[in-house]
This record gives sequence, C-alpha cells and structure tokens, in this order.
Amino acid sequence: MHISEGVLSPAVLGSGAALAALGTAIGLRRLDYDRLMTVALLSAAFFVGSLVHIPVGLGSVHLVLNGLLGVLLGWAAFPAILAALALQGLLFQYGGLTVLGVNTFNMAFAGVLAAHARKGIARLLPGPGGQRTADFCGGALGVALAGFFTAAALAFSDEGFLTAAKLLFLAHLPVMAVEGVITLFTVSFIARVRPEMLNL
Amino acid sequence: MKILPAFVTALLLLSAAPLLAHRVNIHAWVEGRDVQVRCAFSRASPAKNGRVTVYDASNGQELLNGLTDGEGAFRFPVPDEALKNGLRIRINAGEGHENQWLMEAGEFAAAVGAPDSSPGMPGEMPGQEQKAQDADTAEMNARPYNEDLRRIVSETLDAGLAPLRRDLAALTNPEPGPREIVGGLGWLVGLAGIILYFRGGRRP
Repeated sequence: MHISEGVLSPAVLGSGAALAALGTAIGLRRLDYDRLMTVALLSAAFFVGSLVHIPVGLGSVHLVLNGLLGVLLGWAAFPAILAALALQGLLFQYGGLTVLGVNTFNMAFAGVLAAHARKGIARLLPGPGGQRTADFCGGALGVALAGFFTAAALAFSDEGFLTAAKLLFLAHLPVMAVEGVITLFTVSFIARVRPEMLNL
Repeated sequence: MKILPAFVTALLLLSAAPLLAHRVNIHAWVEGRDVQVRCAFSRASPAKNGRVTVYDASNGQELLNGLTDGEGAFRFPVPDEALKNGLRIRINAGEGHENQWLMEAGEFAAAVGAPDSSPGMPGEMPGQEQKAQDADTAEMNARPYNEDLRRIVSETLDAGLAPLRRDLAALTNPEPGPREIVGGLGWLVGLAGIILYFRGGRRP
C-alpha cells in the first residue's frame, strides 16, 4: 500500500497532498482534544501494524488497520495516519515524503468511508448480529477501499488501473478478513468497557 | 457446496504475495565485466519478474532494461556510458513499489581490466595492443597465460566477496529494528503530549 517515491506524476502528488491537507484540517477541527491520547494510541497502532506480518500461503502480508482507525476516530484518522506514515517514511523508509500526501489520503479517506459504511450497515441490520457484521465490514472495507484508491493513483502511472487494482485486491483478501475480525473484536470490546469512546 | 471454500483457499494461496511488502530494495555491484543487480522485498523474498531499467546517470538516457529472474537477480554487461557517467539502475516491482541504485563511474574501473572473451586486450595501452596484433610471437604466447591468470584471480575474488556483498546489501537496506519502532512510538506520544501541553496552557 505504500507507494514509493518517483512513481507518481507531480499532478497526482499535488492533488494527493492537497486532499490529505484538507482531510487533516477537518480531522483536527472536529477533534475533541480530551480524546487526543486515543488518537495518539491508534496512530501508534497503525505505525506498528505494518510490521505485523501474517503468514499466508507462501508469503506474508502485513496489517494496514486503516478501517479500525476510521471506525474509532472518524475524520481524526487523517492526522493519526499522517503522523504514523511520516514516521514510517522517516524511520523505516517505507513510502516517502513526497508521496506522503497520496498515501495518507488513500488510507485515511478509505477509513472514513469504511466508518460511514459501518454505520449504514448497522442501521440496516439492527441487533447484535447486524452490529457485528457492520464492525467486520468496517475493518475489511477500509483495506479494500485503500487498495482501490492506491490503484486509482497508480492508474496515472504506467501500470494501469485494472492490473494494479486486481493485484492489490487479490493480495489483500486475507488482510481484509483479518482486519475485519480485529475491528469486530476491538469495537465490541470498547463498546463493553468504554462505550462513550464510540460516540463520535 | 464445498467448492466455495476450496475456491477461496486457492485464491488465498495464489495471492500469497511477497509483492505485498512495504518497499523493494535494490543492490548492484560490478562482477567481472558485468553488473549484477539484486532486488528483494526483504531478505527472504526476492522481487521476481521486476522490471529493471538502466539509465545513464548524468543525462538520464535509458540504456537497457530487462526482467529479474526467480531469485530477484538481473545481470547485464557494463555499458560504455557507465565508464564516463555512471549508472542509475531502477527497479519497478509493481503496485507502486520502485527503488533505485546509483553507481558512480569510478566503480567500473575494475570492469575495464577484467577478463573478456572479445578480441583485443582491454586495459592495455593502444600502442601495445597494436604491437600485439603485429604478431610479436613472444607476446602472443604470454597473452593467453595473462588472460587465464586474470580470469582465475577475478573469479576467486568474486566468489570470496559474495558473502560480503550480501551483508553489505543487507546493511544498506536495513529492516526496521526495535530502535526504530520504539523511537516512532515515542515520537507519537511525544507529539500528543506537546499538543496537550499547549492546549492546556490556553485553558482557564
């Protein structure tokens, strides 16, 4: 999911940076500063998440956790993911500083959309079963949409949208399943112990 | 009804993607008269079928390109431009994973003297070469011997240096360790602390 330096055209980099800045501004404006430590903790989870490798078949995949951040933080996922990606770029050399905007937008906006989808599904399917389905979809959709946005950004490079989208989607199927389960358990745990955290 | 789980399992196995890593690493060195390029996502997973493109480092002109093999390796003869300008070698492993490796002109100095099957002794004065071609018998006899010696020395050297080069490649592309991880976590908590400090200062 981390697009490298020098792949995208300046136009894509510029619009990505502008959209990420806009999202971060919305996130910071809506942020209740009493919950700042929650944002920092989830940002830390995202930062470490990409180091957690899940063995699948012959290779391994890593967590993204953007769906979980979107569900728990809403628009505040933007500053959280921006800070985590900047540190990943500086310390691990994942991605890079010029693509920071594009990568932030791809993952954070996907998380925000997934959070909305989760609310929609929870409204459609009332009851505990529906709530669980909604939580699972929140986590899984975050990854799927991030793959979609990444492929869209790559569509303007020489790779082409369909090839990139297909590869990213197939490769991230196991991640989607794992993150759906992670989101499901995290959200139901928080709903039991700290329900006020979910009222955003 | 058992087809669906089997299909999903097959899909998961097929998607077993080392292509999923965060970034692709590239490392290149001169071996004999060739440049050896190695590309990997991490130490365990080589970047197979990645597109390697070689550019002139000074004017950006594309010199050649090709695909990496099953071990993430790609080998090409040193182009003439490399001696003057150096090379910029770029790997595109797909899904937005790209990286590059720069080689300065000085690194190719050894390649000039390295053994080669083509006629004419590289690394010698043009005048001398001319003399050799003038059928100076003594020199003609000495030449195959020198050539063999050079080849043997070069091969032995390459074999002995191979583990060093691997270590060097691993050092230039380090995997994140505890230092980076703890450092990053500290940064995040610290940033939140700084923001809280300033927000708190403004509050009555």
